[in-house]
Amino acid sequence: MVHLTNTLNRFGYIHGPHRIYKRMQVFRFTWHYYGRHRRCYKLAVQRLHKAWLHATRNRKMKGLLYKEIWQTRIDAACKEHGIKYFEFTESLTRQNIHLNHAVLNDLAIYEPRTFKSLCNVAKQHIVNTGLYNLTLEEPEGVFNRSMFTDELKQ
Amino acid sequence: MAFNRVKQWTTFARVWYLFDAKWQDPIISGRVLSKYLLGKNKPIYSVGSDCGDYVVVINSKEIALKDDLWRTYNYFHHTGYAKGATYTPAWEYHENDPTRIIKNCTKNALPPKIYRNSLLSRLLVFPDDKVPKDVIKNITDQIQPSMTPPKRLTEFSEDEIQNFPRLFEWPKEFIIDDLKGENNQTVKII
Amino acid sequence: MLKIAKNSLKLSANSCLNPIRQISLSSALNLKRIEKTEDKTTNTITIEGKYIDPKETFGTGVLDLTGQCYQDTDEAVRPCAFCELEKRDIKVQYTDVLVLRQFLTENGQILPRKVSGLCKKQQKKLIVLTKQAKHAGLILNLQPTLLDGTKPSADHSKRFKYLKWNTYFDDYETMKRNKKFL
Repeated sequence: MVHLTNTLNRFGYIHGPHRIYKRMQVFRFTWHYYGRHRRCYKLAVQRLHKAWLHATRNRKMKGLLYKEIWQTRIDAACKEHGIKYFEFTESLTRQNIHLNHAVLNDLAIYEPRTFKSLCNVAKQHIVNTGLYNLTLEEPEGVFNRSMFTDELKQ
Repeated sequence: MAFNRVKQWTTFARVWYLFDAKWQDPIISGRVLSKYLLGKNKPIYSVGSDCGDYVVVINSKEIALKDDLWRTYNYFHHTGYAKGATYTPAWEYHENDPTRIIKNCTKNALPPKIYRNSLLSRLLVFPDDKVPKDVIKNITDQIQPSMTPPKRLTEFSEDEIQNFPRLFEWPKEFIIDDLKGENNQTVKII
Repeated sequence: MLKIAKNSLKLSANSCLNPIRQISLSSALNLKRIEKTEDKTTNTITIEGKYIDPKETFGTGVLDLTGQCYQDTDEAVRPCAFCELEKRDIKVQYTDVLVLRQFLTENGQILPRKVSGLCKKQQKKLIVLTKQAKHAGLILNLQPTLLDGTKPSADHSKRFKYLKWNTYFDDYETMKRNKKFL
């Protein structure tokens, strides 16, 4: 091993990299902060470490927040067709239609006709099995497995 | 797809809703109206997007409060000086301005953000059913009320009252004048 | 002995104030109304009990709740009207004004249990329902007459302070569950 730099350092020529480079690393993340928290290193480091703590914590919250928005969107789309959110999801899972919240959200926004047909499937299931005590209009042209349960059992 | 441009205009266009506040609870209806102002009734809702609707409320003079709340519920205001606290009961608050309670309840239902006042500017409240023509011509849809308004006995016609089936038969042995009160000399049975 | 004498005195004193009850010449087998007429020329007062046909005055359409006509059965078998409705999932609320007015006089007083045939539990319910309907201003034309002889106005907007605005209540069953009454 050859340590040329150490030998030079012994005479006081080299003191490592200048401290500006260490500070520039921090200031790259704090350029958008307000006031002295973006300029002064001592304040900026404190604020940056706190921000990273928030970021790790909120990485889990991000999924929950998205789920809240998806729920409100699906709920709004369900209300247009006359049933509620929990009635819709409950009847879909009982029919082994395992669609994600994210997928249902996309269908509600970009493909409203397919979402309407899904609502009709859920309605027909509720009418046949009597999951909830609702007075729904029976949709046309839907054939569920729940219609033929009595025949299958026999 | 030359019509994508038009599609976007129609999806983000504001719809005008009508809400009849006759015999409605302002606290419950405030929660409903806040959803329409935020745009939570649409599947394209997101937090940042400004996709709320206009809501026109009529007959706000005839809202109904629960139990004894007209007497017991107080609105608090402080002037900032010493002994500046005032408590006005709800019936007096409603008498001064019949549109004020329902506005206050929707304000409380909305999230406490800076855009709250801009959402509230889209809420138009009228005490009677007299609405200016500029407002009425925009209305396309209606928000369904949560409670059914009851009917007073004076509003029924006499045929309706008499044709309604009776629930009990009068006893064979009974003198009607036994029902006499202390002050009243005569007792009439309907 | 003294106690019994005192009680009997009390009873007699009370009954003296009510002279109509003292005289019972006619048979008490029909529904009737006592009428007083005065002839000033001959200075005579005639008091007579007029028979009332209940079908003419109160209407004919009585619901057959038990499935058998009431007139054939005895009075003791008469069913409670509210209980029979509850078996069919119809629960009477304060907004059912057309039902409530059958159990009230014109002054807004509740008829006794002897007349209406309700059970004790349902009579308690009826008292609460009438209170709620009066507070909400739904039966304002059934009010007691004032000392002047006039009736108070049936317009709800002229009522006292907080009573002039509309009020509503929960169902009786939910109020009972929460133990909340007016």
